[in-house]
Amino acid sequence: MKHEGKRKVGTAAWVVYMLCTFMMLAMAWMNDWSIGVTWQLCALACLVSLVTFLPGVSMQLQAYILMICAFADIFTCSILEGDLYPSLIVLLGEAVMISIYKNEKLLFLQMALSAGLIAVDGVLFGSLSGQSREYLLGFFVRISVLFAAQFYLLLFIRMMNKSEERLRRSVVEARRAEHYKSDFLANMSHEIRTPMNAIIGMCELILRENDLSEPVRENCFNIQTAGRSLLEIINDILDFSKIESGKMELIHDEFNIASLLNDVINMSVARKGDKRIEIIVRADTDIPQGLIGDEVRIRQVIINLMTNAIKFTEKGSVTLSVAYTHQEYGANLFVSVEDTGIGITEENIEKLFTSFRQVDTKKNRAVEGTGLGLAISKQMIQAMGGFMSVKSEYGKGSVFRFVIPLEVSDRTPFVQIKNPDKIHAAVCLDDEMFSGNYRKMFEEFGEKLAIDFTVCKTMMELEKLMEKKTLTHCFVGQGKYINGSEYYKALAQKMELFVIQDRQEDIILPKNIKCLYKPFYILSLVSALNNENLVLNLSNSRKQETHFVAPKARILIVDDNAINLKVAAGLMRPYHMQIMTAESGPAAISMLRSKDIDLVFMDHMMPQMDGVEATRIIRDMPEPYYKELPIIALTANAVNGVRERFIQAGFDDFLAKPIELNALDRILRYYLPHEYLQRPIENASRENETLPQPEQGRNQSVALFDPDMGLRFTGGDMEAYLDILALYAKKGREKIEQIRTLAGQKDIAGYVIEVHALKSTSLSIGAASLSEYAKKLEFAGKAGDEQTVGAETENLLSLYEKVIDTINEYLEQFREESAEREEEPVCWREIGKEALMDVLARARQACDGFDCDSLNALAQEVNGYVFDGISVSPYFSKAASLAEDFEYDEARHSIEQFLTDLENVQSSKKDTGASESGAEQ
Amino acid sequence: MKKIGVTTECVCDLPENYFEKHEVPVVYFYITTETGRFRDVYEVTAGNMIEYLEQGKKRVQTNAPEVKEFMTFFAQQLKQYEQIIHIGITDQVSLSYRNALEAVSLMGEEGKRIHLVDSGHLSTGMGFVVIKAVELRDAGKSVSDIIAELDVMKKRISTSFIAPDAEYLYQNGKVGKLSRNICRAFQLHPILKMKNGKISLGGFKVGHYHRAVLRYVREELKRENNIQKDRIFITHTGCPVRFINEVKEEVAAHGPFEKVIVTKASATISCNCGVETLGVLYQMKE
Repeated sequence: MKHEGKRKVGTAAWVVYMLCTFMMLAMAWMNDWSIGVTWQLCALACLVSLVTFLPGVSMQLQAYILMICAFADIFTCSILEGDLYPSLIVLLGEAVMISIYKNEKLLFLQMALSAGLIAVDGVLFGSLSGQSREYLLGFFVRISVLFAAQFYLLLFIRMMNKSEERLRRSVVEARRAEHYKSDFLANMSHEIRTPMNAIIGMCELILRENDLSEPVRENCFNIQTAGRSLLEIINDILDFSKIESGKMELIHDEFNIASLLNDVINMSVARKGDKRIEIIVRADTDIPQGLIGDEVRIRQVIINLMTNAIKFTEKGSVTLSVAYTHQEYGANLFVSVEDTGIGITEENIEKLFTSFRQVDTKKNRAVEGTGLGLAISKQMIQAMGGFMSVKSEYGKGSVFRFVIPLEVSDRTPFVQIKNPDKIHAAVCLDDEMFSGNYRKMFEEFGEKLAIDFTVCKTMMELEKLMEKKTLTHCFVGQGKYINGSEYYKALAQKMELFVIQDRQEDIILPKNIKCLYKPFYILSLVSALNNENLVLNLSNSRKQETHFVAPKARILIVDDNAINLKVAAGLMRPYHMQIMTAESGPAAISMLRSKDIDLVFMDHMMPQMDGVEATRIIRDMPEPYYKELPIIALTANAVNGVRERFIQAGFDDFLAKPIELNALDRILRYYLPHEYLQRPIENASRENETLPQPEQGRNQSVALFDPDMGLRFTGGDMEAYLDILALYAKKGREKIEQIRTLAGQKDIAGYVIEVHALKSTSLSIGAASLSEYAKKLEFAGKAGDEQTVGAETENLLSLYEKVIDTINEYLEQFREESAEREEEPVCWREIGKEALMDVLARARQACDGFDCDSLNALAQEVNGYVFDGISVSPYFSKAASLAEDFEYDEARHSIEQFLTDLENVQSSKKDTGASESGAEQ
Repeated sequence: MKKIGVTTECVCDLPENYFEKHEVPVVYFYITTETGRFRDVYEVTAGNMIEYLEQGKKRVQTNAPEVKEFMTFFAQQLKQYEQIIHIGITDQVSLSYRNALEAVSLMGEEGKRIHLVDSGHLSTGMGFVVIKAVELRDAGKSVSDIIAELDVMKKRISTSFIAPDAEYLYQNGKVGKLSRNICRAFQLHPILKMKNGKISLGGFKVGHYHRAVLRYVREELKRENNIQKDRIFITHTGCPVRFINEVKEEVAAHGPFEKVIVTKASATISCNCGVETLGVLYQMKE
């Protein structure tokens, strides 16, 4: 542009110069000036032309040369020919020519030279002398006009230059401001994000606690949701700022459309929440599995469109369609999001992508949002070389679509049916699904996949179809399944049966009937038809509600991070499974040699031997157990398309960290043996009253404590209640002595405190009569009634002792009954040396770290294990018990005691000639 | 299998719901930019193109469907129809008709079931021909009768546009450099008319563009007694809604017309004419 501008200025100046030259040539011809003048004029014109159009000549040099040549011409004409009068006009033309360069100094110089020329000619050469008055008057008028015009041009140029300077400064200021703004936003966003992440993270930790009251949980969840919304807004603002300043960098990396769609679906389900709208996903089957582009941005745009569609749709559906067209450079990816929402008027469509607020604000007052999302999305798509557009009908819905050109790294279709000729499938949809886009989607499936696929509206149609052909796969809506469950259960014996369910309203199905959760798309369907396992991640749940318990299930969690292990074990505790942990791949492999683990959760990233390598080693072991053992990858990198890699590496599935509770629930339900799944114990106790009651024959006729009452007071957690009972009994003897001493010393104040505490603790475990008695003596003590206190304290303590005895008997009775319910006898298993070293090290660490929970977990882990004939668990159980009383030194001693006893056993074996295997400290 | 199918190209600028309602399959033109090749209407809209061009991007190229694409398209349609009548854009402005001809010739025996009609027009001028073909098909006429009638009626269609300037027209070879320079120098708004299948300059208007458009509309419709009143199209490339309403009022003043249909031109047409180009297209009486 600069070069263009320079050329234009030069050309304009040249044109003026040429005009002046022609004028002088005309004058030369009219006045019969000497031929030398003509030649000079022409020669200088050629020189000027050369200078003007020669590249590399600066504008200033050009201007000087033009001015000199022009003056030379004027000098020649006026001085040599003795007539300045006509040249005054040419001087004016020269001033105009110089002013084109907007150079004040040159113009000043030209004015000065003009004055000089006039003075030289008029005074030195005396051209004015002897002239008539009219001539002189005309001359002075022309000079005045000349100088006035020059002066005016000078002022004009000066003004223009000042304006340009101001403009230049404004541009510099604006750029600086832009730069500061970007820096400011970047810094501020970091400062804002850091505490926001802390708030969201802390809320997540709190929500994982099981003993929160409902209002607290609700408030915590709301804080987390608001925090996430705020983070999203900050991210939007940053993105917009980057786009505005042209600093958005796009990544060119390979990605898999299946992973992208999976992430979009998961997030859309989360956004949808409780809204009664369908999310339908349609995708071309032949989209290449290897595309090259900026996956993060593409996902961001699609999620933005889906979020908007969900936000503004109250009923009906939101349909995401993904298609592809083959191109020479790769492919065009075409995405559309169609909703049955409120729609947009034509006037507002024009403002849609530029407005920073929502259009139709009055109507959308209840809908949150900054309006930045669409503007950002469109700019991102444009940056990728694509286009975005919208069509809408007000009141009926909208369709947002975009297309982007992408390169292709692998043209293999992302879905492939393994044996299309062998598949004969049918679907029997629920009525509401049949009438909508789902029906169209299923109708397309058969055509797109080139398989035999029939859509049936009713069970009768399905039956008629089965008379004609043998089906291999059948998909049925949940409503249809419930209404004809026996029929479909029978069908499941003959073919692969899938029930299409909503995540929020799913029902437990028999093991041989699989589930296809909405929203699903062609990949899920193809996986089902290929008999592959796929579990989609799900949305957050506010509260961990376990639909089942699995006390017989033995789970191994492998993670090098102790906190992660604790968190994962904590999340699984409500399922009442037997949880074992290992902090490394080798430890996990060692523990698996016992072949009694039902399910493994393996961290993907561990030092020395990572999860992938450990899994490979496990799969390479000869026994079929290791080939069939379900191993689930734990990874924080779930959203980057690693699912397929995990499955190829030998995992059965993966679970994203942080662990989503619903996802965990489904993994457990899918991979644990069906017979292990039981209804939660709380329900069982209310329905079946399986809580044993204390024997009344040996005690007073009045029941001394009521377990049902106590269980209610402790929140229905059976395990917790039994722990509390044990602790109550354990501490009871001490308390009895304490109360007796206080009564004997007549320390009424202390006595009242202890009896008051006895009243509440007794009530909480269900010992109502003891509680009442303690209450009576508490009031007596407060009233100063020493006589009653003295007379009745021993009765109270006698009752207290009986309650303790009853509790101990009850606990013993409960343990016996639990043992009777076990179908398999306890088998003692040999623990490996390495595993033993590992648990010992962890136990020491737990003692040193005052970690009672870990000791309890370790005690469970080593339950049933022996080493060199010595049972490991009693030592660990004792350590755990001591830890509960905060006696960590004693707990550590118990652990070390095991080693001491082991040494003794090994020494005695050595002495008697038995084979040795020592454990080194 | 249905007897006769009418197919056409996206540059006929008829509303999308017309194609769905009357079962008229459409083959798409392409727009090639610096970054990719996109299908008109389906993947890019006129609005996208206008915005793209106004951002100072380099020229875009518009391409007719290639021979292979026609072959695939026709083969697909022949599965549903015994005979196909394909209405194409005028041969004088696009390679489309020639590509379609070549595709038909390469299809051998199957190609004999395909009948190509050069509409002699573009945009909704071509759209008139499509509508007529559909009406005759629905009335049960034979292929030859339909084609014969179309050959007659297309001569009565008036296709013309007014553009703000001649820049896009010049860049796409529709007008010469001199015409462009004159328009530029004197701020003229060129009027383009179709005659015998060719686009030619049919005059100029001066002054404020919106007022110039209204004057153009008045002039076009001054022979109102000779204009068929069943249908008239106002086709534009990104004119503001308010302005379109003014044009509609002007058109209505010369009516009454049974239907005044406002349509947006396809991206292909928009790239060739530029932003805020507007045309009033109608059919003359016999």
